[in-house]
Amino acid sequence: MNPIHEHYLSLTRRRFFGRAATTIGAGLGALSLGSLLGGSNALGAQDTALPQGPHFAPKAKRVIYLHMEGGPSHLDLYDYKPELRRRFNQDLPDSIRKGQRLTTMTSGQSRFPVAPSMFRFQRAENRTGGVWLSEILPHTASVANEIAFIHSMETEAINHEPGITFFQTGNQQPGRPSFGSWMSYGLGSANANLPTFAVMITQGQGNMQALAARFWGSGFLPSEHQGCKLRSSGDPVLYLKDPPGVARLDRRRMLDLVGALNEKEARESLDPEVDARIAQAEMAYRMQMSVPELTDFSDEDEATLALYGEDVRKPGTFAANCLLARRLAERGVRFIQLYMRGWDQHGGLPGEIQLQTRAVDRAQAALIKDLRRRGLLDETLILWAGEFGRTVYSQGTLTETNYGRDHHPRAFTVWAAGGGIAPGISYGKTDDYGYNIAENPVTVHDLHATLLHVLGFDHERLVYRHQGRDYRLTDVSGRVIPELLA
Amino acid sequence: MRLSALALVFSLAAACQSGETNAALVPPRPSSYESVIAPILQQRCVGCHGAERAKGGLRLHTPVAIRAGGASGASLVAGDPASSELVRRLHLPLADEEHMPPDDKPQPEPTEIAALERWIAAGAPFEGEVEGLSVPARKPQPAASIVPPADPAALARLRAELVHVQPLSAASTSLWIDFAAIAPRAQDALVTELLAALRPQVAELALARSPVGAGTLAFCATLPGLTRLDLRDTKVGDVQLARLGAHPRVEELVLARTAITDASVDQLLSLPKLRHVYLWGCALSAESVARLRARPGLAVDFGDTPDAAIAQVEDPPKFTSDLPIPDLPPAGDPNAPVNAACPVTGSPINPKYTRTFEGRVFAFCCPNCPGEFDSDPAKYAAKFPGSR
Ligand code: HEC
Repeated sequence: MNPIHEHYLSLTRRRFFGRAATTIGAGLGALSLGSLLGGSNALGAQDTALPQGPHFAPKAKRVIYLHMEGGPSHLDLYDYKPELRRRFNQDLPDSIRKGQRLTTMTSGQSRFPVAPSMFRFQRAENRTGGVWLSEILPHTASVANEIAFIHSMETEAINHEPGITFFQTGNQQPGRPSFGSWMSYGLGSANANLPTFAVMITQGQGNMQALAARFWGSGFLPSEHQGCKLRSSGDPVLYLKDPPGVARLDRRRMLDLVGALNEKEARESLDPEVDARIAQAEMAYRMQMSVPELTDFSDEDEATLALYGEDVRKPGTFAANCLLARRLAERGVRFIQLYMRGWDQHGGLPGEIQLQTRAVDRAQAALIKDLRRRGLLDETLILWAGEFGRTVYSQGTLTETNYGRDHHPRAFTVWAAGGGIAPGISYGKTDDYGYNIAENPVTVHDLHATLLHVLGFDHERLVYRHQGRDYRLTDVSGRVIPELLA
Repeated sequence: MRLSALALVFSLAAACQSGETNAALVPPRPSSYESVIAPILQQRCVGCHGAERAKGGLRLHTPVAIRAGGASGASLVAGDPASSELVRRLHLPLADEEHMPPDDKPQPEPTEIAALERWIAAGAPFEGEVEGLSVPARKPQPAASIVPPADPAALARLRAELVHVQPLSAASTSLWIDFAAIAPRAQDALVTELLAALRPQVAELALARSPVGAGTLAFCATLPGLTRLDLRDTKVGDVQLARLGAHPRVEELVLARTAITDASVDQLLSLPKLRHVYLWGCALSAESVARLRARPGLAVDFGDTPDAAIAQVEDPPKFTSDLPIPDLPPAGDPNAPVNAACPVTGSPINPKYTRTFEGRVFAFCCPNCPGEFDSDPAKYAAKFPGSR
């Protein structure tokens, strides 16, 4: 036998077992091996095995996660506290603040005057006695029947960076896989022509914090599970177009030739990575066809465009990204994440927040309605959440119609809708000041555990072994909240 | 040039890999906790002892939970089945209160109990193989409920064509099949050919945006386990839908933006299990929609779901400061401040900042004001002649 060839073989075998050892026996961890190999048939039996997929029958097959970067004010949007109008400019009592830590932006303030919301609220009917919503969310009110509001969300982080990281990865320190990556890892793609985890960003109106690509990173999961950012101007996906002068046919020929060489190599070395390379190149080639079709709205009718609002015609707006989210959902993309920036209203909140709600309100309601009538809402889980809420006391000068609010992790509102979520309910309560949780606290891990449950996963068994221990999205805690389930 | 173009394609693939192939799975070792014990516990116990419920404080769904034991301590003694609480309870007479699982619940087979005992006797390891441990034989289940495992070659064919296929759950042999990736070329011939060998397994079938027609619907009529059929944005009309016949299992039918008209109402009503039908964008009259909606237990989504009503609108808010501050001592208490507004600034008071002057307590809005008060207490006190 050819000694060089033999050396190759043993190398590959060792690599194979080395890799297998980290994944076999870790429950779902076993999945990752298949993914690493890019679905090749290097192991013979592999392409005949079924994906393990969810642990139990899922209620939702995909996720649309609307992340509101900056920390939207629950008090001006969702958490109705009419009595605060009679506490205008009173100091926040110590019995409420309980020594809560402050950001450096307000820790120097001599007073913490109560700033009631200047907005009127209205009670939209839902399935459980109605829900009070701010007048600046009229369209969201129109779909109150579909939404489960969680008024008792809490987080541990008080600043944006760790706050977003916590919501995305279940941990405040960077380095863990994001929610979307866990889904990509656990569920795989339902459309081999598109990324499994897509990310879109809308620039907001006010104060904006940096969005790091690691918010959609895959951490220690194989890198194919990281989010793929779709850009709003120029090419939606970088490097997708053939360079000028390279015709599609040339590209095909090139891939065929390289593929043939690679296949020869694969046969000789039995290295599964070679098959993975072939698969990746083929996928990129397919995406060249599928992505332009995806982002071309010309097949949408006028009524649908009108539903999302005028903004939908401007690429990159929240409305356009909501419509794109629906198109991705229809095409089987598993995890679609929209970031809406600009909710960080430390000052001038009443004016700025209205610019934000004007950008999101109609579009997010349209997304729900559009998914619903197409038979997609029952299978799609929608989450709307910022990384924290905002303080009841004013940051800076307080008048009846102008105030600012600082970051507030202790109690705020998020909402979910769609497949598997109890529609038209409110869960949890805050105290009279909207400052502390009065009933049914929901931690970030609880939220993740509940959403994973809807997606068919036992959050304690969706694990990946890394550095000698099993990691989960919910780390070492988290509780499924039955009241939120349909 | 050629090299750099190649590099681009690869870097793109690395950045935006579709994870298309989570498909593959290396089976766990055949005689391990993972492949033998976990499924028994999952099926027989985890409903009450798992992530959502922990009866008796005991959870049995993960190794960590099993090690933790329950309210009365460790549920198993590694190496000693006879002293393990878990085994003791399995062997108690059915009538005994402590028998597990409770007598009205499905009971494990003797072979399953034997497997649990063998595993505990071997030290209850969560990794590696246990000699003599194998998946226990089960009594055959009634024929109707069994869906045989899918033909591997047929699955491979589907995947090679980029059709998504996935079992409904880990324990299920029924399949969700989605043609999204190749919708534009999913013609009748291709669909029926690809699925022919998977008839018993197809449970949810998504053909949205594809050119399917009568052939596919006639084929669907022969799928015994079909429960959800998604034909959104197809050219399917009344003639094609009629081929589905009175399918006995179909529960959800997505026909949004198809060519369905009033003529299909009887066809839809002939489906005995139909729970939810989506007909938005179809040319149906109000009468037809009403006829469908008259059927109990059938939800009809015609894209006309009314907006949630606004039941009440708040009056324009008025801002005051007349609610008592929670931390203040109640009125009448000698320590209660006599003022509600700061004597210096007129802002609402904070009970933290006070001064006592001539036997009366004055409160201030902030830490700076007491100093100002001290400079001329009589002047400020005079603003509040009465006491509270
Ligand atoms: C229908 C619900 C149900 C199922 C299914 C069930 N159990 Fe239980 N189990 C209970 C309840 C309720 C208790 C607490 C009352 C008691 O101690 O008897 C309990 C208690 C126990 C305890 C004692 C825990 C402690 O520390 O006190 C053990 C051990 C146990 N179960 C084992 C099992 C095993 C093994 C199975 C599966 C073969 C099983 N159970 C299935 C309801 C269930």
